[in-house]
Amino acid sequence: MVFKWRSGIYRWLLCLLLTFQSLMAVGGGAAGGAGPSLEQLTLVYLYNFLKFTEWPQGDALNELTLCVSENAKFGAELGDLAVRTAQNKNVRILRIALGADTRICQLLFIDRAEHVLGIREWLRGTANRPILLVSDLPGFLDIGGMIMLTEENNRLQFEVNLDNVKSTGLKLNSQLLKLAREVRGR
Amino acid sequence: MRGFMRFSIFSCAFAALKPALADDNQQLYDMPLDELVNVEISSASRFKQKSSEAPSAVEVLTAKDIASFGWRTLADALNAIRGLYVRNDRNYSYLGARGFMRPGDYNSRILIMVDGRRMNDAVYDSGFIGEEFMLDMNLIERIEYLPGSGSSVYGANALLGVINVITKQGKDFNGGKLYAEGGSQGMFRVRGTYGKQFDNGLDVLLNASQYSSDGASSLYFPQFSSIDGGFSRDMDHEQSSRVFTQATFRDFTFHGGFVDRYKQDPTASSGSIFNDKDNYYDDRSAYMDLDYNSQVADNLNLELRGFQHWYNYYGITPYYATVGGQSNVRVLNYDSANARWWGGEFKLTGTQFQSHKWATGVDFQYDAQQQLLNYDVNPYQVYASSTRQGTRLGIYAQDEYRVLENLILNTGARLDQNHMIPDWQLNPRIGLIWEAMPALTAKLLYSSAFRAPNVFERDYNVLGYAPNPNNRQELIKSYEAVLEWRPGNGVRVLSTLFLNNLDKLLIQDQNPASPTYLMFINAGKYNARGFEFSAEKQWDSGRMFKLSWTHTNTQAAGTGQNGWAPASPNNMVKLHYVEPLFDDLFRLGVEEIFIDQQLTLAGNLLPAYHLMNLNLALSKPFHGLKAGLTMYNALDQHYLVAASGDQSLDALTMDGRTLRLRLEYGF
Repeated sequence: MVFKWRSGIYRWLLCLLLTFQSLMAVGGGAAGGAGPSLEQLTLVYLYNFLKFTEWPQGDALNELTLCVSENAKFGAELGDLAVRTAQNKNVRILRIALGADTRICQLLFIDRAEHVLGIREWLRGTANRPILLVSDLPGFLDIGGMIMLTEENNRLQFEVNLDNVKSTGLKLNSQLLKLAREVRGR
Repeated sequence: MRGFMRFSIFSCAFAALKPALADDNQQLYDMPLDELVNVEISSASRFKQKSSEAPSAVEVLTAKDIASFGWRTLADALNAIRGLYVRNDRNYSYLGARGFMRPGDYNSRILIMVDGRRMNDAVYDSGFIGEEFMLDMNLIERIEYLPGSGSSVYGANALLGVINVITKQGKDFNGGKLYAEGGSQGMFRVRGTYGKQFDNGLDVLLNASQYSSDGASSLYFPQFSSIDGGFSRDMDHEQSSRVFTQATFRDFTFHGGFVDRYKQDPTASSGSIFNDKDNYYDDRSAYMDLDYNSQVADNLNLELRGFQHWYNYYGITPYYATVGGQSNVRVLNYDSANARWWGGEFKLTGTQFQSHKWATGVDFQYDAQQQLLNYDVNPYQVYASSTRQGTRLGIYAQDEYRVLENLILNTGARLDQNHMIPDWQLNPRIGLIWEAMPALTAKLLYSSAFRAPNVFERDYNVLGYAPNPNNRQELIKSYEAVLEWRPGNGVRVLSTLFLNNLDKLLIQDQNPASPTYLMFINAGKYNARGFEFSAEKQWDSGRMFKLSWTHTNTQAAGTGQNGWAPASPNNMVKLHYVEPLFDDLFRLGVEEIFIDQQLTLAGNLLPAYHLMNLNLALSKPFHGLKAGLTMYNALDQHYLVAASGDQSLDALTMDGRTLRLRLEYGF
C-alpha cells in the first residue's frame, strides 16, 4: 500500500514539474504584444498624479511621498517607481497601516482590497489635509475621495471630484483634468 | 513518457532564453499621459474576497513580522498571536486557542489553510504547524487568524478558529535567492527560491528546501531511570524536505506543494522501548490545486477551484513482546495512515444590491482513500486494517448588509454533509458591527460549528484503542464581543470578551468497567470563558510595540478529569518589540511570552514559564546579502509542558537556549 502511494507521489511530482515548465514556456512565447499589469499601470498613474499636482506647502517639500495602504496589491513594481523623480523631487514610497500618521504623505492610494470600514477610517484620518486621495474603489468620489481609477475595456481611466480636491488647497494641472473621464465640481 | 520528457526539457530551455524586460517598466513612466489612457492591461482586474471581511477579531502577521522575530515555523508565529498557544511533545506541535487544548488530540479543531485551500488531512482531520507544515517561512506574505467558530464560510473543523496563510508571489522575489541557516543542536537548513513576473503577466514561484536538526543530544526522563539511567541520547533528530510551486497567469493560479518530515521519538510513546533509535515518525503531505478567480461582471466575482491532496504517515514503534513463549523479544510495529482526496470549490461574491455584499458557494470533497494500517513486522501480525471512502459537501451563503451608515449586519449559514455521520449539519453565524465613534468599532458575534469524527476516532483498532461505529459529531457554540479602537498614529487597542461552549466532545473512554472502554465517545463538555486585551503602536521609523493579555477559565466535564481543564493556562501575556538600529540598517526584535501554570493529564501542576526570543537582522540587503541572528529562549528556561495521552510521561522538559544564524543571497 505504501509503495503504491509512493509511486503516486513521484508521478505527481513529475507532472508538477512538467506543468511548471510548460507554464514557463507559455510565458516565453506570448511575451511579444502583452501590456503591463494592472498594478504596474496603476503605479504609473500615481506617478503622473504626483507630477501634475500642486501642494500648498509647495517648495517647502524636499521630496514627494507616495503612500499606499497596507493591503495594496503592489509587489516588486514599487521598486520601479522608487527610482523616479517628479517636479525635481525624489519620490519616496511608503506602505502605511491604518491608523499610521498620514501627514508625511503627499498622495495616498487606498486599495479597494482594504476593508470597507477601513476605507472610511482612512478618509477620516486624512480629512482636510493636503493629501491627494486616490483609490480604485467604486464610489470613492462619493465618500470624500479625489481621484478614482476605473477599468474600462481593459484600459485604466480616472475620474476626479474637484470639490474634494479644492477644499484641501490642492491644485490639479489642467492637462490632467482634460484627460479625466469625468470631472465633478469643475 | 519519453516524449513528455523531451518536451519539458525543451520548454525549460525556451523559458530560460526569454529576455528580462525590466526597462520596459521605466519606459511606461516616461509615456505622456494622453497615451497612457490607451494602454491595454494584460491581466483582468482581481476582486478577491478577503477573509478579514468575515466578522471576527482578526489578527494578521506579515512577512515583516516573521523577519523581525526570526520565527522558524508556523508554530512559532502562531505562538505570538493573542489567545493562541503552542505545545510541542517532541513528536508534533499542537495549537491551543483561548484556553482550549486537549493533550493527546491532534489539530483537528482548527482549520489551517494555504491561500484559502484547506490543509487539514483526511484521516486525522489535523492541520500541521511545525516542520511538517507545507510552507517554508520565506514564502509567507501574511498569516490571518480568525478566532471563533468559522464554519459558515470556511467549512468543517473551524471550531476554535481559522488560520489562513497567504503566500507571496514570484514578483515579490524578482529573481533567485539562495539561503543557508545553521545553529545549535547541529541544525541546518538550505533553500533555493526563484520568483519572477514576466511581462505578459505570468508570475512563477519555485521553492525547495532541506532541513535537519539533531535536536537535544541528551534528554533525561526520571520515569525511565532504570533504562540507560533515564537518558535518551541522540533521539531527537528531525528532518524535513519541501518543494512548493506557484504559477499565476491571468485569472488562473496553480499551487503545488510537497513536504516530508521525519522525527525521532525520544519520549517512548505508545509503550515503545526507551532510547531505541528505530522509534520515529514520518509524515508526507502533497497537494495541487488550480484556482480560477475572475470578475465575471461588474459586481460579480467568481471563484472556481479544483484540488487533489495526498497524505501518508507511518511510524515505527519498537517494543518488547512475548514471541513463541520467549519473552522480551524486540518487535517492530508499523503504524500508518494513507489518504487521498480531491474535490472542487465554487464561490460567487456580489455587490449588485445596494448596501449588500453577499457570497455563496459549494465545497465538495471526495475522500478517495482513508486507510489505517497497523502491524508487527516480524513476526508478522496485523492489528488494524481499515479503509473508507466517501463524500463531504458544504453549501453556504453569507450576506454583509449595511443597515445604517455605521452599522453592518453580517449573517451566514452553512449546510454540511459528511460521510462519517448520518445527519446534515446546519450552522449559522450572525455578527453586528457598529462603528460607534470614528475610531471605535464594536462587534457582537455568535456562531456555531461541528466536527465529524475522523476515521482514526471511528476505526482505529490496536491495543489501547477500540473502534466505535456509533460516535457522532462534536459541537461548539461561541459568543464574542469585540471593542476596537484605532485613534490614529499607528495605535490599535483591542479588547474581547468570549464564551466557547463545546459539547459532545470526542474523548477516549478510560473506564475499564464501561461497555465503551477505549472507544472515542461523545462525552466531553468544555466551557471556556475569558477576555483578551491588546495594545499596539507602530512608529513610522519601523519601531513597533505590542502587548497582549489573554485570561481564560476553562472547565471540563465528563472527561474523567472534571474541573479546571488540563493544558489550559489562565493567563498568557505576550510582548513584541521591534527597534530599528543604525538608521534602520538593523532591526532588533524582542519577543517575550509568558504562559501561566497549567495542569497535566494526570492532574499535576506545571509551573508558569517565560519564553524570550531575541532577533537581530539586517533589514536591507548588503551587496545582495541578508543576514539574521536569533537567540531562542534567551533566558535558558528549561520549562515543562504537559505530555500527550499516549506518552507514559506526564510532563516534558523543553529545550533551553539555542542560536540560529541565517544568510540569504539574492541575485
